[in-house]
Amino acid sequence: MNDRILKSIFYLSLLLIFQLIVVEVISFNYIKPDILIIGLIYFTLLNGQIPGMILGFVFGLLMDILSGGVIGSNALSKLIATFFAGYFSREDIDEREIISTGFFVILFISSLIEKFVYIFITSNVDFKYLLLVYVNYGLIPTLVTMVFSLFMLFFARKSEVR
Amino acid sequence: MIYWLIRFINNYRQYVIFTILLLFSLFFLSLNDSKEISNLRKVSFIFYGLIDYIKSPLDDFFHLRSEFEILNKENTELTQQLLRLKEYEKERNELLELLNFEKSNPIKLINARIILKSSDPVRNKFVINKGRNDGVKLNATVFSYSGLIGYISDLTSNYSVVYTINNLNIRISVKNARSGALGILSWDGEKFKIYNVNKSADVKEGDLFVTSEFSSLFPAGLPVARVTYASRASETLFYDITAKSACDFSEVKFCLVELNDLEKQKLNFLLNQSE
Repeated sequence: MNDRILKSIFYLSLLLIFQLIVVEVISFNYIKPDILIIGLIYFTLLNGQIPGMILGFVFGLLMDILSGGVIGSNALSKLIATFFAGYFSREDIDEREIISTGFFVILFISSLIEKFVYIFITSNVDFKYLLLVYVNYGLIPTLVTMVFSLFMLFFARKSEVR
Repeated sequence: MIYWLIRFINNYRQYVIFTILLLFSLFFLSLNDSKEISNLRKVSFIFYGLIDYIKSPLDDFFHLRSEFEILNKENTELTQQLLRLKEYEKERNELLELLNFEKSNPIKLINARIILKSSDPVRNKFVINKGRNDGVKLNATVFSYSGLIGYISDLTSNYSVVYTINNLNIRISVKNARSGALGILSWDGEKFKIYNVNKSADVKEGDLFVTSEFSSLFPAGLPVARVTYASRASETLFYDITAKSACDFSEVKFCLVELNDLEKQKLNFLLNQSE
């Protein structure tokens, strides 16, 4: 169990660095995937709600510090997303069982919740524009995240089969 | 009592932990304007500065030709602008002498490279490779040869953060360079809109809006946006105007930072007027 958590922390750190460096380069305007949330939701489903929430908060805070954004915004939004995803984790779940249609639905909803919380607390926009901002900066990046999650998990599964 | 508390925490530990972490997040959010959090945020400049230090030789190698062509074009346009501005300066100084007005200092500029463009959905910003050591100050105007980019919102010794004009919280006083019609420019999340331009004013598609003399953030005369749609059909007394920024934020790689202190100049002007 501890080995699994340590390994997960290592992979999440790599995802964070990838998110901060590579994703910024390949993104187009506001359309960019959130690779870190994919890792956090996967980790939460595998290890449970409490470890998921703690790492969601810690990595969200690290992301705020390293990206120069509003400190606490990613920490709060990822905390809430992993808290929600934690309700779907099971004690005896295997890594291979996680990758299913259910995972993508949970990831989609968690990502939408995370983006909504983030936009709500960081923007000072009028209520009438909130929906437009949410569609542009919440829904579209979430869909891009889903596409990336398919690729990531496909390659993860292939490496396990080998 | 303690036993009951321990049992409660044990039964509902996920909610207890969630509440504690939530309170920590709210605590950090409430302290965002404090000096300690600002210092913590500067860690990101060091991080991106290091990445740029490693990445820039490779970037420079692969983009030499295209950057040369861009710089050559900018140089030509700037030279033409400089010649025009010298003429205007001569004319302006003569007029100011007539009014017994103190001559303003020449505008001092420094060029900088944009090392990071953050596409945070609600707070777009750039990071540039010039900071306090190069004479950059907080709230200094940042622009390119094509138009206004934003202002310096934070800085360290060697890097600065530019808060760009495509941010939901910025409102800029602008005027039509052709007809002089005044308005307020803001970003609605997707495009620029210019508000409060009276229907009796003369505004056409293609018109350039520049910063007006009423802007407290930026010096007057900087190109800001070009009108893409203007209609009198709205039910209010004002135009419905949509615009596109004069500066292409996705393409721009270099910028200029004004080193003069605009507020100090304005203060000097007001003091001189009262004497």
